[in-house]
Amino acid sequence: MQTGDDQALQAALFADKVARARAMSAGDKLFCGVRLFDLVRLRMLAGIRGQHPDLSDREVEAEFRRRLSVVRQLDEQRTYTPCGSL
Amino acid sequence: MSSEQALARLIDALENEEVPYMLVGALSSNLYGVPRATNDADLVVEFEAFNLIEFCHRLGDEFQLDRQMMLEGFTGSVRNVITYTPASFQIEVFRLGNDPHHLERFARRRRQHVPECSSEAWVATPEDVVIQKLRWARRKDLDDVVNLLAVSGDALDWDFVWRWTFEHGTSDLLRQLRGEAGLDG
Repeated sequence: MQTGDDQALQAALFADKVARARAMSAGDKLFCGVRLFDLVRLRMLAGIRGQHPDLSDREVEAEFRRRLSVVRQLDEQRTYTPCGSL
Repeated sequence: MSSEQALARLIDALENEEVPYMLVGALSSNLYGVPRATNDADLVVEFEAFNLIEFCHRLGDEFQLDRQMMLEGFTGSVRNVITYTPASFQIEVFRLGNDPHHLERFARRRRQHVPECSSEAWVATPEDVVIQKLRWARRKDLDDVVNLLAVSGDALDWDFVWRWTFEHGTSDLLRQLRGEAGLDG
């Protein structure tokens, strides 16, 4: 259960997040999510290497793609159905 | 080449070939709200006189087109996916269809300076980002709406937003999220 202090902290963090977003330029914000994807990818590759030091670089990349695919499937479940081919 | 550079290359190619398009999804909600990481870039393209297979081929071998077309259940949009293979970054290309809001959204798109590109890019307006994300209404979409309203809510054309949310039956949800963003406080 949240206390008054928790709620005040949450409100302060949200206000800080909003203020930082307002301070960024539009150009920086547009591609920010893509830059973050690349950073997360590097972290994930390092994490997989740490978990499985025996894997080759190719196998580490394959494991990264597998994990990303799981996330995408969860994200898209019941949303898309095949409807032909180009 | 980073995913960011790959996306800039694709946008530059659309601009150079004068293909009508606009950036939507997390790219657009990041622009007007609080940026977050995204697994893909979404764009809408007017497919009249546009050949996606040939376009993708011109981008180079690192851009792989999945020819499988997918129908999105909420609005009936059809999608193909291009993967920038060195980073496994996906660019989702939606065809501009006949959905009334999608047609108006496309007509209202605006130009945005992008430092990574050689020219400006077409982007959905903040009002249309809110309207579309309320239709999807997944958890991350609702978070994006709250963040967008908190950052840019004062500047929106609210008559336009309310009109479409009444049309889509999402106005109650919008009221709730306005409260969460502190707009009604």
